[in-house]
Amino acid sequence: AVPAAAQGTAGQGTAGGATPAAVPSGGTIQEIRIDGAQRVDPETVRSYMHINLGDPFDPIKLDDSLKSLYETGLFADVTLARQGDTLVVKVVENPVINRIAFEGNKRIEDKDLEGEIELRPRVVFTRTKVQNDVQRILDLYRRKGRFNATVEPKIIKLDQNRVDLVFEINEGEITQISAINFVGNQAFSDGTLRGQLATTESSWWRFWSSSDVYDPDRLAFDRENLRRFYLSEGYADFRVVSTVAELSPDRSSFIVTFTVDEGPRYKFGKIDINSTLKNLDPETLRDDVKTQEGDWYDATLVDKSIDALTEAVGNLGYAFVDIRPKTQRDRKNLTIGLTYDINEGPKVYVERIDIEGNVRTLDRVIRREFRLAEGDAFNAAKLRRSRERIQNLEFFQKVEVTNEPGSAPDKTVVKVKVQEASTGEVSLGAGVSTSVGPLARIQIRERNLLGRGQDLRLGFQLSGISSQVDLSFTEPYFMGRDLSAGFDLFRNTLQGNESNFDQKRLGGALRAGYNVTEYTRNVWRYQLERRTIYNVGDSASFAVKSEEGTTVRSSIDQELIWDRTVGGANPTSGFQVSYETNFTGLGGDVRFLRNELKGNYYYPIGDSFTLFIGGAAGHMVGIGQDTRVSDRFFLGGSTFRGFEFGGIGPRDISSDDAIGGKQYYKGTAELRFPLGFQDALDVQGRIFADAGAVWGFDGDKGSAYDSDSPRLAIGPGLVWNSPLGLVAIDFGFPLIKEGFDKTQLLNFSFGVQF
Amino acid sequence: CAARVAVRGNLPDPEQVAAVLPGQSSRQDVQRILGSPSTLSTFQANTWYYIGERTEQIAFFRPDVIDRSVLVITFKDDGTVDDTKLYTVEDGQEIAMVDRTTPTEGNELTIWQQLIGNIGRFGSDSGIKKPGST
Amino acid sequence: CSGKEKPTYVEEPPEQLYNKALSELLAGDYEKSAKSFDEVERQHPYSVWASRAQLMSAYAFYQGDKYDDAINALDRFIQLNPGSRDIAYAYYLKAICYYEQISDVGRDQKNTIDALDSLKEVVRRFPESRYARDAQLKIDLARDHLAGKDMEIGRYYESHGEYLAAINRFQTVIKDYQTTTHVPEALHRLVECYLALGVYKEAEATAAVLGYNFPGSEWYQDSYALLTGKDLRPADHEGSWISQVWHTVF
Repeated sequence: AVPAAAQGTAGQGTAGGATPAAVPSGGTIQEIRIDGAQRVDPETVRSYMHINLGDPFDPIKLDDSLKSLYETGLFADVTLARQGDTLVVKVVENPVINRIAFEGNKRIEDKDLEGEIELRPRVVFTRTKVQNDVQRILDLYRRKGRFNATVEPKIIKLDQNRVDLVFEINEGEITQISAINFVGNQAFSDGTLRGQLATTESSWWRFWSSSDVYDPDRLAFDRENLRRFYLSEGYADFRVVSTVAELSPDRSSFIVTFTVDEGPRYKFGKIDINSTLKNLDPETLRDDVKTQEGDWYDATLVDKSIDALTEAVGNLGYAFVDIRPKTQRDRKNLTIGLTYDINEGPKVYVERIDIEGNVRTLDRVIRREFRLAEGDAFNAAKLRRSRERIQNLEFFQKVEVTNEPGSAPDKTVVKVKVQEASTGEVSLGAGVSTSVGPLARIQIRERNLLGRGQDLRLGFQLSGISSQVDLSFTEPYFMGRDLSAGFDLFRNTLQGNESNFDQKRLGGALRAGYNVTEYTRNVWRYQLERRTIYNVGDSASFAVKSEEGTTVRSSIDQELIWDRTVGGANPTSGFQVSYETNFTGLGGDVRFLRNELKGNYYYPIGDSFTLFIGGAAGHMVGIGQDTRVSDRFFLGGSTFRGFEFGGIGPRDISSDDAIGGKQYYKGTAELRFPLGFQDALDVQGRIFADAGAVWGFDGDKGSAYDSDSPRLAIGPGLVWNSPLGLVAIDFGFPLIKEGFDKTQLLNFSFGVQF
Repeated sequence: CAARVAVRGNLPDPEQVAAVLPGQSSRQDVQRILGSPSTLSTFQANTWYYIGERTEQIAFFRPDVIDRSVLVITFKDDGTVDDTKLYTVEDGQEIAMVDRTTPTEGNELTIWQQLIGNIGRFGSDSGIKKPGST
Repeated sequence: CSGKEKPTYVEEPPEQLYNKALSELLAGDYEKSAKSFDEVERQHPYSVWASRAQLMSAYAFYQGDKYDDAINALDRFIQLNPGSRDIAYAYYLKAICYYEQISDVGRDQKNTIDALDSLKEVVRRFPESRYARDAQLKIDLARDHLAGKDMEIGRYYESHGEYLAAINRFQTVIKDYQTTTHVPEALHRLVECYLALGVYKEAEATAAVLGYNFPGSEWYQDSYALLTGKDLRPADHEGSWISQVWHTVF
């Protein structure tokens, strides 16, 4: 790397080229005298010159020497003169910077400014470098949204040709965006369009975000967002006519106006596929095409179809495939016909995959995510899929996958540049919930342990009636296979005040999970646990009393999950079905078999409404012995709103304690809708109906109430995905209940993760 | 459940292989028909290899190779094809890799370093360092 | 104006400042010593002590593991005093700064490549200096390290049954890193891959070269065993250019 001092254009004084060396030629140089060099020793000046003793006075060489001396950036001015046979080099050195100071900067500290500029104490001062630094400071302020900041460099001369440099900064006002308006939009409301933009209107609760600051690049990005949104809604001729940002009358903020020309809405016309690949019947690929004739035009569906077709054709063994959609736009009856042209792509092979920037993550942890190996046929869809998989590791801030020409015309080198992100997390959580009371949780997690892609998590949780310590470790590619394996250790204690007995659980588990298909996952888990029930109050139920003491549970558990939901943690569409089997009895004192089936279905209505329908059923049976209270099913609290935890189900007559049921079924219907805060506050209202029942227990039938008739509760609720965490409040009104059930109107949980 | 089919390396079609005629085709013909060789022989200079396979993988089991072709093309000194040989998956042997590896230096990242984020030094003893010591 | 107290800006004669910095260095207080050396150069840029202090500040940063600062200081010294008698040492120390940051073969090898470039520059510019010999030694170690990285990737592909990818990686080690310690293993891995693909003749030729050049190595025993005890006289395969290359190298 060229040292900082030598960068920058030629020294000041002569702008551009040096003055021509007006030196009479002829005769040889007997002596070279350097004048004016104080800091830079003469030896250095000579070493940069292209001419030395005994050479003739050759003007071209003198000129080169002059230029190279300037390029060092060390000298303000250089002149060559001839006295007899001595060449006199007169230099005026650029001053050296003694100290750099910043004045008037409130928003950005000195430390950040120093990091941004190039000049440093003890570095050579040149006017061009000062200008560059002024520009750098302005860019920094522009990024913070202060467009009318000004920077004035001041120079204080010192002895020994040194200077102090002071940047006088006037930060000017922050330029926020007070309003975003749209002109020409009939199809969609301003609110919906605003939801598509990265720029947002400034408002009080956005004190921490910078998305409401005027930034021309982000506005340009927003034009693209709008175009993509309209294209996915069928407006093929959509155009953003203009984006105007004027200062508000009081000059404190900007008003942004997007003028759009929506154009007509198109439908898909005739869709067909033709291919030039040998013995490939295009019709077999018909179901991979997502675009159906008659549906509204949607650009994203076209891309998805291309991906699906590439994948399908790839699987049939055609490595080199190039699929291009040709559109036939029919303006009269507003349809867009599509022809997918499948033809032979260029025959290119991957020569090498080079991975750079992985300072912490091991090479193989990244390489194993690749859908291509060296020597394979190059395929853009697979490359894109590989990039997505590396991105999903969430180990990196930036992932760049590019390919460059290889050693032969039909070979390419794939270059992966990653920038590591910090994958260690220390998260503190606090919360209050009706079932557990006040709750605090500390968790230390490292998602990329030792760069090997392994996940280690240690959590401590303390609440009103329980304490918990858990440790879990996961290796995503056990023995190099697509099999994630891991172990968990846990120890928790519970002081049950409702069913007045204390419980201590200590145990560990081994687990392994794999993808059966793209969307189906199967997880197996073996768990060994020692459970102790003690301090059983004399008013406790007979069942609990019989379970006092220590039991060992050794169980094997299987869960099959078929997940087609869209929208991550808070799905808006799709469905998920899961079936779990737990057999406890591989040794140990307790033997039972438990099965549970769950299904959730999310149906989007309009733009922002979601109808959620959920169902669950469970059945368990003791093997050669009675089932125990702590293993049975409980409903209530957050699992059945309108009733307290365990409020539904068999209840001991004498102690009035819930003792859990051997079977249960439960259904939920919920309509979720935004609560008129321009969906900026991310608050969702919901009306829900929970129905279900828990029944059946072992032991003396007369000692407890029990009923399998369904209970029903309906009510309104609120979920706020606040920046500090999820806040859920539900009011449940039980319509149908049993006499002995325990109801509870309000159920809330406020979990904070910060 | 569906098995994931993958094509690895350069798997030329039978017709393309048939188009390579010993004694007539030259290196350029082979290059045109089959593309650049997947790899050259390590020690025989005028031998080209075209290696490709189709694998099928179910869940996390090892992908089993359902079809492999190792096409070996040797050239005479005058550049024309001397002979072509095709090995298939039957010729392959199950080889157990020796798990010994040649040792390498380099700072292995320890848990402690990961937590405090700096990476230690390479190939030098601790204590006061005098540059020039290996 | 800024909260924290700036170091007091006290004018001191250069020798006094220099000796203070030197004593701090010997006391092992590297950070302070580097700052004091910088102070010498800042207050007296034209004194004879200035360039000396620049080099010493780089040395102090190096001792304190502050590699980037040391490299920056050295770059400045090299740019300002290309003619100084310590220039060889400056280039050498810069190479050592990169060299000591080399991370293990599983990770990014940028430092190894930087170290290799600057070590080569030391050998190119100052072939007779007393640093050239050590630089040459470190060049071989760094190249060995880069070969180790290719081996690591080759083994990864081989263990996943990607024999073509593995073969190409092991061949790179043999072609580009002939003088490193990884060559015997690379040859044996090639024997493994060729046998797995069923190309027996190639495996035999590779094992022969391994036997000829590394008869005592354990890798040769492995290959020999793999080829099921066939009697593998190292019949020279005159035809291949790499065999000729071997004879020239060994």
